[in-house]
Amino acid sequence: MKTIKKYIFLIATVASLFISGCSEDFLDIKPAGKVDELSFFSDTTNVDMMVSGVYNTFLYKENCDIYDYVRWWLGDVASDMSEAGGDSPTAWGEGYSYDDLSYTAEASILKAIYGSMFNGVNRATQVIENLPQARQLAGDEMKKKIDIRMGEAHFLRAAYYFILARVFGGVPIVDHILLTSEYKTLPRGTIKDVYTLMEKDLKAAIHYLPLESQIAATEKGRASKGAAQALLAKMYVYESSYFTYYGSADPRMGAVQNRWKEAYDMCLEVINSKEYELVGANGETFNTFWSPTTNGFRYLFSVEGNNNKESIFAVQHIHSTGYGNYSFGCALNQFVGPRALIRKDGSFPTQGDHAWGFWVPTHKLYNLFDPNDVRRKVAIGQGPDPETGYPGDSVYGQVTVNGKKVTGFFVIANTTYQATGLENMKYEIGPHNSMIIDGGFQGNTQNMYYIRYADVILLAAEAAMMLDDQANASKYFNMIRARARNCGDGIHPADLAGNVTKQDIMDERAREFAMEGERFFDLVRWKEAYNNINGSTMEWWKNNPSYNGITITYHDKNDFYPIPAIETSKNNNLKQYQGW
Amino acid sequence: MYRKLDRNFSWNWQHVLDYKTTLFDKHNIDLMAGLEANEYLGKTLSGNADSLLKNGATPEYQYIDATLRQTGSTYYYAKGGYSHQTGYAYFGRLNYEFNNLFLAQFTYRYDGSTKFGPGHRFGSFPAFSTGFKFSELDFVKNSLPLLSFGKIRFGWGKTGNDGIPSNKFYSLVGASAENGYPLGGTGTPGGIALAPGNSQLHWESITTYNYGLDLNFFDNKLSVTTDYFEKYTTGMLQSLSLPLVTGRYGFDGSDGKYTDHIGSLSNKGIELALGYKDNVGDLKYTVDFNITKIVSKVYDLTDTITLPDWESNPKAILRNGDAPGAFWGYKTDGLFRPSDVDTIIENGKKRQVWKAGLPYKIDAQGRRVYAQNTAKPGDLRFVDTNGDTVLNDKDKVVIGNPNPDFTFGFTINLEYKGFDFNCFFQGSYGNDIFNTSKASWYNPNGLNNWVKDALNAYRDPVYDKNGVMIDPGNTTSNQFKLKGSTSDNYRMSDWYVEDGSYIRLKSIQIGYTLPENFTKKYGIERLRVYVGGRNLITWTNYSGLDPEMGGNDPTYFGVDGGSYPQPKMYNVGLNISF
Repeated sequence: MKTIKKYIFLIATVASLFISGCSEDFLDIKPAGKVDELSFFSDTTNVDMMVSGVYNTFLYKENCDIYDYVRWWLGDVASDMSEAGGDSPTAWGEGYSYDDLSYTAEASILKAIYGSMFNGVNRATQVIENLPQARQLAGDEMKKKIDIRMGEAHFLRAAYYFILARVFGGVPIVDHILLTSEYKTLPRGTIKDVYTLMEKDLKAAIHYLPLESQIAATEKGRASKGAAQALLAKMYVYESSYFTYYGSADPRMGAVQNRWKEAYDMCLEVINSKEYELVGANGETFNTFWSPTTNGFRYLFSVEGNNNKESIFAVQHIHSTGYGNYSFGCALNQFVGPRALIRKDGSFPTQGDHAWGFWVPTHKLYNLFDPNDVRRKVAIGQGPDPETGYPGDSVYGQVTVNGKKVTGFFVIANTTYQATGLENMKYEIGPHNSMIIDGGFQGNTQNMYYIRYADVILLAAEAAMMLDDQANASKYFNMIRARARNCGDGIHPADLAGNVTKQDIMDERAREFAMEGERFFDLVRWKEAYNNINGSTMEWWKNNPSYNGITITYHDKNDFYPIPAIETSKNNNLKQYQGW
Repeated sequence: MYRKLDRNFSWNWQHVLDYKTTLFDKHNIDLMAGLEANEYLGKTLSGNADSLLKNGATPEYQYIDATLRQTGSTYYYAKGGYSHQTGYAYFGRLNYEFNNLFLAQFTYRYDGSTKFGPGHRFGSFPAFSTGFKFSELDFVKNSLPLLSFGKIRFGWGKTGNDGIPSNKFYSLVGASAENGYPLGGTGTPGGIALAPGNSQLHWESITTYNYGLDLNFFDNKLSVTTDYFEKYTTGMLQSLSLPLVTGRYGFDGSDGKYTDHIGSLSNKGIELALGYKDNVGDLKYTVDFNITKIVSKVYDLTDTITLPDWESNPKAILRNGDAPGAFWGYKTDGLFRPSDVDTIIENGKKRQVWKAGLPYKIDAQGRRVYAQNTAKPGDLRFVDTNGDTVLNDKDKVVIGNPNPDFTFGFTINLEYKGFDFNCFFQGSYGNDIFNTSKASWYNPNGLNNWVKDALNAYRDPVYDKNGVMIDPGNTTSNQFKLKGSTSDNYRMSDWYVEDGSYIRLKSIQIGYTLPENFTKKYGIERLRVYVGGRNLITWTNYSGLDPEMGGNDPTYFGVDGGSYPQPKMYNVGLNISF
């Protein structure tokens, strides 16, 4: 018996050795619950998912949306028109460094911007490179859809590259799926190199994409032909500005050219398409939480005004709470809304925190407006002023009184956390605030503009001015003023009489796009950043002697932000600009 | 309400053949061969819902159905996962012993792993060891009577490591609702490429050479054990954050990380252990001491890697020729002092700078630009090591070494009649610790408590409005000003690096065993009471909570971000055997 057992065992063992032939297969385990790249990108039924994944970069957050960090810290706080804000001068050390220009290549927001924008670029590239192959096997209906999605991918790659070039200047060119050997060797391109790829992409997008009016209501938010044309016009303006004010000898620029004519013509393409209009240009009013007769300019910056007729391309937001940094909502509103509120009748102690009060306007911006310009009130809020008897601006918010949450209209208390004494009002969304709805700060629903029609109009005015076409320059310039006037008292601001000058364009853009993150990038392209920022005194925390009166020193290196050190340390071909 | 269901299924199949024989009375041979296969399948399903129908619910209400189940709520969700792994290996062993004098062992493993792609799944891992008890030789016995035991040993072996996340040779896509985008006011799902797979991944191999000598003297009272070893880890597997330009930024976990073989690591070391045991009358004692010195070096790296490699402010570096985990950062040179003042005239304006003697460049507007342009007295002075008047990561150097010069341990055991005493000291000498907690301890802007030493920080003198000094401040301190003029002071520098040497009384215990003839009366075999403690005393200059830090990452260690310290423990106990 014993021997038999022994032999059975031996035979089993020897037999099992023969299984060895199958052992490779036995170890071949398919990834669990995840799709592999090849099968995902070769299946055309995934085409919507592929492209939504490219748009997704606009929603990526590190506490706040990275896209909004670009506009807020880099595009505005660094300029002369706003300051860091918050509840104390040191509330956000890194944020403050964009205000006094002391940021370094180790800054984490710069890393997040560089990283997430390249996420978008690479995701778009993957679609652009993989879709044509999948398209071959698709039916005619599907082919049409694929072409549109291709156009969107081309547009998005350009849109992300435009942000990269505004922030960092020239960056590496990713026009194909990178090989592992390129990860650490890809050199830095010039701004012109970036623009060459952008131009190619935007022309492809213009070719593929439908007009805004052809996009179904259920698809609103997708890029349109107009979006691609508007961005191309803006890119031409940027290239021409760099050519005009820096010249192609500047190593950062590369072979930039004078393209004011193309810029102007491309603006006209958008204008003549009649797809867009300046909202409120004829004094129309709209129903929002502010009032049933909200003026058109205020309406632009309300949840009710999402995807309005002026919105050419905007980052879409819907209410969602579940995903934290991946929320489809927007966090910016909570970060930059006025911080302290008081009761309307001024009675204390119902004072309470509302939003977090970052990104506050300066008095330089405030004073740039005609006091009766409606755009000032839409952009800038202020508390009661005992000297002038001004009662203070209303904000719909939520404060805690005796442990209970009270919701409604309150008045800004600008003395509690005084930064400049002024508040950013373009991101006030009242009862739509997700903090009020469910306590989540990343679930707000205001869309964030990427480009709006007013921009195209002012770019047209600027391009016309540069082409010495004063008639059209003032025509478009005054269109902007007329809209502001018709949204306000019908008198202010008056039309500009006489020639449009560079200074007029600079000031009007500052007014129209106040607190929208355009100012710093505009100043740089006009080579006006030094003139407007250097030597200026930070209007910051007036009552705090440690921080009041800091004078800003602007260096040429500040024209563009440094490439994150973590990136240059991995790639010897990636050189910082001089000074970094 | 959270419910989770896990279902795991695993099996392990082993076949072993063993054959033992003795030839010519003196040659003992033991031969073994086998194979092993295993599989693991795990499935999970979990759900969550909030708002119980009945507060303080009894068990019959503790189900997801007994909640309000609000759709759209963060707390209402279902999740499920799946994992699948297999393993396959052949192994064999040959033992040979000659006459209790000579020993040799040869082992072999041929191991398969699911972590690697086709063609790279199997690794060969042979090992060989041998020992020679020379004290058994007659002429040794006769000529060295004090030597009671003597053996020389040699070992060589290869082992493998596949400790990486699964599926890293596949390029995967993350398709989910949260990777999508809202269109027309409704969320749409999206698919995005995760980290590219690496089809070339294979086993990391570790080759060890060991040379040993064991000597016992005076009837085994004194034992001396010495070892010299060399360990070479080649093809080190590392999870890497890809450069940002590849577009894999911001993923949680390993999804966005690329796994690759980064290079090799060598460890060469000596271990010496001395032990002495004897008794003086009723007092029995043993004393053991050991000391280890290891020299580690990274080599064959294809790239220099800073760690953690996703951080803008890395703390360590892997560089050919350096010790692994060498600390990386700016070198400091004290503080800027009021005496460094220099009044310069720029564009017709006077300006005070505190950079006397430091190099500068002149910018386009005719202004001086120093490496630390905005620094004022009380700020840390960083060394612009490449002298380009720009302070950036090109100025970083190795600022510390977390590898100790040597580690040691010391044990004493005493027994006297019913009493017993045991204590164990351990220590480390010459290692540095990167104390990142200092950033908050000396930061007035954070929400953390400060350390007392913050009071000794640099302070500017204070003048009244007539210019009369009312407080001389503290301008000689070496601790930078807490409200400095820039956030530069908190850059990763040698300010964070401290000597991590320590000696610790790791454990101590005193016990008493009651006489057996007394306890036996009560049917108790043995009764011992004891008091003792762990980590009671530590001698160190390290300012952090605990110089003894765990961690088993061979490339990144000795960085103290406020890790939980080893607790001090006191214990009192009673052992009873019946």
